[in-house]
Amino acid sequence: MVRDPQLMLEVAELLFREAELLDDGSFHEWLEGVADDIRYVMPATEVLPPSKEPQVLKRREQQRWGEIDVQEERLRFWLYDEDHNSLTMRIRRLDTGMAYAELPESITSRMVTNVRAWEEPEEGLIRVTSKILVHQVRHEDHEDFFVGRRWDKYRRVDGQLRLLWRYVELGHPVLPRTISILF
Amino acid sequence: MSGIMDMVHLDTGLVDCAAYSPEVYVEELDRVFGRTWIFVGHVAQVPRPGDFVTGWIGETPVALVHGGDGAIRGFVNRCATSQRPFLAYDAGHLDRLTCPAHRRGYDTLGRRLGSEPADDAACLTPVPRLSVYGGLVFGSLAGSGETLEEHLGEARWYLDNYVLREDIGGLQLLPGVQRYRMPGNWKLLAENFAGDDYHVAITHASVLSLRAQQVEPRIINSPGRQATDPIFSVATGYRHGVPHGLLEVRVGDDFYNHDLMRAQTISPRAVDWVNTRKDAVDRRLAHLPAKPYSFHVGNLFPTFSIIGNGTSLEAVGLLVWHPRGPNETAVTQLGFVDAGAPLELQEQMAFALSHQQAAAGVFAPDDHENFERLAKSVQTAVARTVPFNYEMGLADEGRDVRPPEWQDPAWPGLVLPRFTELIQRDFYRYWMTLMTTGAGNGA
Ligand SMILES: [Fe+2]
Repeated sequence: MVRDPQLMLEVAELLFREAELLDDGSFHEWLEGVADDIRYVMPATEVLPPSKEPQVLKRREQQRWGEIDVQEERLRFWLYDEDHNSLTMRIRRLDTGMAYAELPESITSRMVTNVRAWEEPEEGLIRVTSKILVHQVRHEDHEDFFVGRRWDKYRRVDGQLRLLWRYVELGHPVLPRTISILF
Repeated sequence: MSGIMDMVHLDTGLVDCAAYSPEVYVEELDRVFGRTWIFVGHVAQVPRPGDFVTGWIGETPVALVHGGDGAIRGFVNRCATSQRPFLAYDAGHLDRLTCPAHRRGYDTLGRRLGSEPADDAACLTPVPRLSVYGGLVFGSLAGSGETLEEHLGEARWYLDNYVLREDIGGLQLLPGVQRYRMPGNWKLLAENFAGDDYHVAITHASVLSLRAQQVEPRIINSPGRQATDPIFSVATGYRHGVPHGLLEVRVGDDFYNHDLMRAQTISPRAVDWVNTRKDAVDRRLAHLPAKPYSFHVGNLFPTFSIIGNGTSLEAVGLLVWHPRGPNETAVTQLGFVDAGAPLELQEQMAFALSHQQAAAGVFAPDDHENFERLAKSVQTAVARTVPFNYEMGLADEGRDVRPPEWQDPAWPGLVLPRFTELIQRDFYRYWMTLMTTGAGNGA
């Protein structure tokens, strides 16, 4: 049962609008929807033996929501490990006209699905999980798909939802190519 | 193999596009990857008995297994009878190894369970030689030949003093092994790290221009144009051995002072660590009249690359270029911070490496673009008539550029101007030797 249909509609619209902005290359506009204290991370995907141990599963859940309390455990060789300043740098890099990984700009199509959203009133936050399928064409016939899952947290600022936490888990133990796009 | 001699012209620095052809590729799996030492992992990936990590030597799947007896072994990741890989995970921990095809079991020493006595045919195929240098594990599919230490040659000096730093606690593996596909022949990717400091200012101009504007000082930890200290490239094994290339070898205090300045913005403990690193090198190399502060990037032949140790503020990235056909490469990349550094500096180190050289960093995707376009054109009719040109610095071939007052004694290696293609020429010199002498050894 959808806990809050109104919230679901609001979040779906937000995610679809976000995908549209990124597909259109409107990165500065996208950044306006991001909180100043954003954390945006993507770990490398590794194929490890499954564990049913409750402690391991709990740790994975905490990692996905950014709730690891031990600072040492946050130390990783991340794919993305962003705060507002580094995201700004990445977008300004694209503006230089010399970021050859995106020259010409990739043609991207982001499909967002499996959206779930709920409010955590005691935190004042909205939690959202979703899946994303991104089709990327670099040039000519160089094209790839990226598939992933996302764990987001949003904060309401002046009535608008701002992205505060995003954890992206791609489904590729070997990435099909290096990554020059946002998820 | 015939014809290779016609592909590499050391006197003119020209390499024929045929060196990247499918026919040559099949041969080099035997002659290069079947005979040299290939990086297969770090001991920190398998710290406890029962731990394993999988990888490749050339196209051959291999596994490092920490045995119940405490020894780390390399196995071809293939069941002795079913030929199926017996380890299906990237890494993990198992008390016994079980072939998924018919559940045949092996212990962590590679012995078939339940067969008495355990004859060789019933055991896992070992990687013929496995050798560890400062925690770095290399494997060779050849049962004999030069030792790992001989293979590394004078590059050991650079590993000891500027990468491994075992006297101050050594390296600490970061969780998060990255694997990704990169178009292009493995040789082009390897020699880019070995010898091409020239492309950096052009291919990566976007990042360097942001550095000049100080947009994100955590990522590029170099003083940039303010530095006046000389920067060199270094070849080891030149003409007589295995060719390894080290780039952005910095002599002088500009980078040290910049590290100090940046560390001051992090914490007093970070400043202490910058000095600990510097003092340790100064102590180790007190007998030299001049020495580098660091080098930033390099490649040890054939496919083991190192990046990020140019400053005290960046983690070390270790990369392997696995061949996946004449025009395709699979990259495995590990990250390491200084084990002895304070946490806040380790975080800065990991942040810098992730942002620079991760598969989603601001450097690797720009290189990807180069190699993707190259891969598309290298086998065209026109390309076959236009060889690759590695003539830069040919007029000064073999000349060491150090002044006389640095020479007594001099640190190891042939010290070159920053921009030269001598390292690439020597890379192909040795490649040609492997391809034309002795027998291959299936990889
Ligand atoms: Fe590059």
